[in-house]
Amino acid sequence: MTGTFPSPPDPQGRRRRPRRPVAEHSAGRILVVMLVGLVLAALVNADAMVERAERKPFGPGRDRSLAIWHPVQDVAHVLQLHRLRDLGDRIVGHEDEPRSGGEVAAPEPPVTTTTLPPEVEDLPPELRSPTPDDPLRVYIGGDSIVRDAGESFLRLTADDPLLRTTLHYEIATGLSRPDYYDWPAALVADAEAHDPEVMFVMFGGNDAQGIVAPDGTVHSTVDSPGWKAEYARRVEMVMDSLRADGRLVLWIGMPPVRSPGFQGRVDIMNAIYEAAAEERPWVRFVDLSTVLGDEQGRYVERKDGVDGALRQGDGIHLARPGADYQARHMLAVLREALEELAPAPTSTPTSPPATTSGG
Amino acid sequence: MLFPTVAFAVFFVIAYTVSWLLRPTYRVWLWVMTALSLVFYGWTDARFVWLLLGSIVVNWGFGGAVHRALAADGTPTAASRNLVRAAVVVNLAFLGFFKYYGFFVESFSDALGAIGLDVTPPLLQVALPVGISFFTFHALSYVIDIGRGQLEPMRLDEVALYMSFFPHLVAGPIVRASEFAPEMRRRADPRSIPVGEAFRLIAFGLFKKVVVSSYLASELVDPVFGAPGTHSSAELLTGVYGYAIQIYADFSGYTDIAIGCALLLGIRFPQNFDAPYRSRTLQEFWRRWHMTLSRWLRDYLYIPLGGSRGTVRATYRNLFLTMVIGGLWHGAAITFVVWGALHGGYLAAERWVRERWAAQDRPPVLPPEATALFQWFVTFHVVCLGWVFFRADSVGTALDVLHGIATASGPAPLVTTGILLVIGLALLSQIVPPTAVTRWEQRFESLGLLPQALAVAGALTVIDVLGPEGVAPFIYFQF
Repeated sequence: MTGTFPSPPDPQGRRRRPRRPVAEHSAGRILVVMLVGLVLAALVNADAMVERAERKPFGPGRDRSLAIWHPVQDVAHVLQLHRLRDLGDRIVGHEDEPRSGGEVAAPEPPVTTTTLPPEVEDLPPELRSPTPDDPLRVYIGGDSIVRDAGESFLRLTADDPLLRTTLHYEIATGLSRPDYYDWPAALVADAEAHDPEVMFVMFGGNDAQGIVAPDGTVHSTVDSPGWKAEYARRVEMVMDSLRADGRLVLWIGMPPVRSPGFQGRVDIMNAIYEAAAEERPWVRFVDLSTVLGDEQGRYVERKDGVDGALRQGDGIHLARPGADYQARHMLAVLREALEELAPAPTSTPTSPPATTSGG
Repeated sequence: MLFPTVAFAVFFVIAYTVSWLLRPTYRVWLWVMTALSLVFYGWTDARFVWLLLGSIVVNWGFGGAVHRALAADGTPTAASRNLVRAAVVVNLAFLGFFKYYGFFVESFSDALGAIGLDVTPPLLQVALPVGISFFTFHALSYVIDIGRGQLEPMRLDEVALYMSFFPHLVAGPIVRASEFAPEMRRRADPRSIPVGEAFRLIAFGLFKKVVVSSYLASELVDPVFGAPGTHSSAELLTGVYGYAIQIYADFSGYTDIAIGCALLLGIRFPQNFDAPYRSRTLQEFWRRWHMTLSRWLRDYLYIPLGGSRGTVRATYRNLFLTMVIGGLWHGAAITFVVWGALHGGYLAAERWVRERWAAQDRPPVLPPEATALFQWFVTFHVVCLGWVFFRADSVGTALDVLHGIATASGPAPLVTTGILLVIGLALLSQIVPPTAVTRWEQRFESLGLLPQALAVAGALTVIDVLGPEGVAPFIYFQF
């Protein structure tokens, strides 16, 4: 009766090898092995643990973690055990990655300074007409939300010879914690490496957390004037750093989210993005509130014309249909910008305008 | 709580100490270990602890009622069968609500839309309780085995620990009550713990999960399956191989850690993986992959469907249906149904070919070694074909991957030496002889206390250095 079904024949679960006489140990001895092993591992890896604790959102959880790991780190440094971990990191090539030392300073503000690009007039940039031989260089960067929309954009435009898109996402990142991931610096590096003509940038999903101003003040709540001012400063600095001749920055706002509390914080961030974009001709704010929300910009699970749920179970991230829908909107915004910002026709056309009719 | 975290390390040391101190007082041990398991389960989201507790009480009640309804000689009666059916319906109703509500509502809405009826039913946001499939499997196994007269009912505190025991709570292995009860009740000897085997399972399980699975996911598999249209044939093919290794490393890594932790607590779980990628037939693959699931499907699905008691055609049908339902169990998506149908169909075809070949009594076409290699190659690629649908977020994406493998030319920057090395070594690990593993364990056991502790610290450091920042949840948590 069961011979056909491909399951293990022994209902007790088959062992891979016969039992052998083993040098088994007592529970007490194993407890000592575990404790000594874990304590040694904690000392050797204390710097990495402190670094991880520092990257947690500001608050009691981070404070507790640091309160635990700082003394361990002190002991490790006295015993010089942290050098073993440093050696391991050097062997695998992690030595250039940030590693905190004995003193933990307040996280630095973004390291990127506002280096003004070549002088350009305060006019919207001109976008050239792409050709298959010289496609438009498009860049999409941001956190996990833009990952889903970015991948959909890549799928959507995979066969379009006029677009060459680069996607760079980093999960659980944003502009609030450059000590965790320095997006301002990464964006400038990406801009230098790929020289994009259109840059889609999207943040905010992880930014509603404590933020450290350059003077070291921690602004914990998003609705505080200090938080808004510091976040706006960072957004404006990133926008300025991406300014270049012939480049349009399309700053995508956060979509509506299910949690009313989080929605309030999203509204604050979107207002900051929009205000900063309005002052900069090379930046346009892409509002998703009615794209992924209802007519009033409220959170919705489904939408007419979209086959499937827009959002994942957390009420924040995009499900595949929602990501595809956002990607189509991004493409529409891009095409609109290409039409609108195309260079004016030259004054001495070599051929008659197409609209000229014979008479 | 995730296994590869500092929080779990601290939790486990506490649970281990408490468990061995209380083991002599059986009933206290049961309650305290259950409480600790509930802490483990509710660590990040306490909402579903109540669901688990409800399932424990309901199934304990069903178990007792079913046993009372059995005939005097322990054989099933109409009443006991009806009670078992009721228990199955109740358990599957909860599982179905949490796991398949959205899938069925959307399918229903789409079906009505296809005939011109525009209906938008309420789509509730139903969060999936972690491990609900696994504790439902445990619950069903308990009640059904009592109904078959194969198991005596257990006390409430025993059922509670059986269903909630933290090493197997969220992702298996699926342990039958008839296996767990004697392990739980025996007077485990604290002077005799197979430390070499336990530490080997935990260390290699962590390595597989934290290093191998995470590396392949972030560097190859996620980008390739995220946007297959932008990758070349070589990247797509390597991405499929990479996913085959990723899901094996992820899931077998988890169950290795679970089995190792249980061993340290004096409980032996059944083996769940046995070098599946060395299989030469798909039937053999299922005897080596997720062994406790295939055993569960056989005992509680394939046999009740009729098994191989009927005609040959009925046997093939039962095999196919079992695998399709097994596929649907993995998730509420058509891709999982396709995966199950592919396995079910190929298993049936494989059996048909084998029987025809044997009936013709032909001499082998190829030398035995070449035959074995050919069979391995075909089986591995059939499994990989199934993984394409298993991993893809839609059938369309899966077809894009397969189409791209056949047609997409271009460079392959994602196919690095490191990626090829990891995939190659992972495949080679499937043929490591058991004697080598035994020797490793014996060597560890022969060490003194301090060298053993140094080995533990060294293993944890190596895993942390090589692993990425942060650890993604185990793939099988979602199932």
